[in-house]
Amino acid sequence: MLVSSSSADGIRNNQPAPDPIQSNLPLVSAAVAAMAAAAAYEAERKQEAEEAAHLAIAQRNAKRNGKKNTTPMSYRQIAKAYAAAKYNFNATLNKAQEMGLGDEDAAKLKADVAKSGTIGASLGAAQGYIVQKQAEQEAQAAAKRQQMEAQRAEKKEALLEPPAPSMQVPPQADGYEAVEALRASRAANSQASASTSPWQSAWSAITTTAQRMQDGVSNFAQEKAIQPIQTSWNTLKSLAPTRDQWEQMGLRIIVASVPLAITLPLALPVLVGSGLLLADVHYGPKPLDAFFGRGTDSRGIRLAQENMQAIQNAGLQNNVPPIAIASGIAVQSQWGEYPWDDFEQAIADTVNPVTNLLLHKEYIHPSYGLARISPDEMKMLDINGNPNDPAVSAEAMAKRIELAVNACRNCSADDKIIIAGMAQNGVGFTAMNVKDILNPKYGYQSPDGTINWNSYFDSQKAKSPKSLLDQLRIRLLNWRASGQNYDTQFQLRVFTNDLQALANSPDWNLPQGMGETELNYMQCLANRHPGDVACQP
Amino acid sequence: MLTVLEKRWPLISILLLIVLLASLLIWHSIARTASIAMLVLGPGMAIVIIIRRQSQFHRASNIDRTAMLHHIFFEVLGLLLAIALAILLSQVAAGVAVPLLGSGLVSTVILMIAVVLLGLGAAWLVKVTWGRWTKAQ
Repeated sequence: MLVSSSSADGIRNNQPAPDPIQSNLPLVSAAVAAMAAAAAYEAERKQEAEEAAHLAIAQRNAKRNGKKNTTPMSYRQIAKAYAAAKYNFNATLNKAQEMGLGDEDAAKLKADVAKSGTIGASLGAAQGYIVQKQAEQEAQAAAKRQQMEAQRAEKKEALLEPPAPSMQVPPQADGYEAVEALRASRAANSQASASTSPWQSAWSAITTTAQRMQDGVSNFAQEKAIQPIQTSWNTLKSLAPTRDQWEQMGLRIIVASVPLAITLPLALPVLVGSGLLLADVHYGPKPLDAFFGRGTDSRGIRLAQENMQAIQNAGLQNNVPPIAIASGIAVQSQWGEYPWDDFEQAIADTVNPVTNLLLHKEYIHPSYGLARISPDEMKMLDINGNPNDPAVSAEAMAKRIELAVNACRNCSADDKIIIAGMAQNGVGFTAMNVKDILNPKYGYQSPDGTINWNSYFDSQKAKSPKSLLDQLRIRLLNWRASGQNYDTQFQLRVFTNDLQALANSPDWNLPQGMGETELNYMQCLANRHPGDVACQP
Repeated sequence: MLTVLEKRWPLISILLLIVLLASLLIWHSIARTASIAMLVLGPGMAIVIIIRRQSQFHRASNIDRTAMLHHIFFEVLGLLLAIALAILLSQVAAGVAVPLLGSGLVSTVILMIAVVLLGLGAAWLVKVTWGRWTKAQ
């Protein structure tokens, strides 16, 4: 859980200085995209608004022409009316030009307006041209329609055969006359059949059957599908809110969103706090304290206890104190038995790779098992097997610690266990960071080999987000670490808590040369803030 | 002042885009600041223009106050939707393109062109979905 939240930063720490173009690219591309979207949206809206304004002016002019206002107009009103009329004239002239009015004629009309100061005559001319053109177009379209109708009729006549004689019985006929009429009709039919070719009859039968089938299908669709859908749609439409109702709703949303916007920043921490407090009360062993690094979580400790054999084997193989591996496992398996653990893991498996791809432009697998190790890190540490296997988890934790501790040559036992506390989180603190600490340029290591952890932690600031999208994650980590550096001092804090808890158990022994004083020193370092009294080993 | 700014905004935004691209390729130190300024200025100016246009429309007595608020609310919401979609798409594009193309001059320019097109596409998508829906109301 802890590894996955800081893995990407850790990987970046181990790499050379990032390419400035690459590091600025997400933010710049976001800005460019936002700018392009805003400009395009704005342009489209502007066009729509202009059309709407044009329509409104035209409607108002029409209204005004219908009912003349007798009150005198102010200069402002006159100017506005003139501007509107000119706008209308320009739009009409443009339309006329689109319909074929020559540039010279358009220029002449414009010059007339400029010279005389009146728009009416030129507007009338432009409108007349448009009306004339529209009439011409309509006439052309009507002629074309007629021509097409005639062609269609010709085709239809060619396809249809001569109509079959009727077999109807005269309506007024009595029984005998009706039978006679039927016979006569059959005889006429048979004569007609004899006069037409068998191909024509067959074609006629096919077309009639096809027509009947088409009618049947169309009627069926109309009755069973189209009509019910239309009825339902009309019912739904009648139930949908009207424009006025939407406006009222919009206003209500605006009014309601103001107090919500003010109270939400206050309400959210209260809700989250209440949730954690409830979990605290329900589950007993203080998950809230474990979350903020103020105490241990019993589930992590229990998982370490349950896998003692695997941890001790890994310790022997890698020459790492088993209690250090167990503490690391306890930190990484915090809240390991909560009912939502599987759910949370499933979410992390889905969300983490996508987030990493978006934020860091590289695919990083989520982490698994008691040590929360990712497949990438397993490859880096040269470990094979299933990360969910406790033996593999213990080996991974031992290797994480071993690599970092081995980088600290001539270091004391205290320094080594402090390094182990930070290294248990994997890629957030590695051998590279240890080499930085030992670099004489920084002066953290004194000539006798001991490391001045007070000054090192003073130099460790809270993490800063690398991109806009990274803000939320980093803010959450910093909140959790109470302003300390999440990858170093906070990791030492949670590690020391679990180390102390395991040391109180008879099953685990502290490394040689380490006792209560050293544990207190670690606690002091882990909880120290810049400006506090320096911790003494 | 605002009217001039509004009138010249397309030109100004193109100039700002050029500055931003130049900062990405040449003046790395100002790239972040310029990006944040653009992220604030672009949407901010668009919102100002929307409010101004609707209030002018209202003052010309073409719409009443309720309709003006209604229009502003839905237009601003649509704008923010378009911007959010554009940012999301641009991040996906950057996430996919950088490992494939690297961060050379040509690949950066290609990515920027793609991002501009994605921004335009996002605005169009919002127009044909959100815009059509709000227009129907």
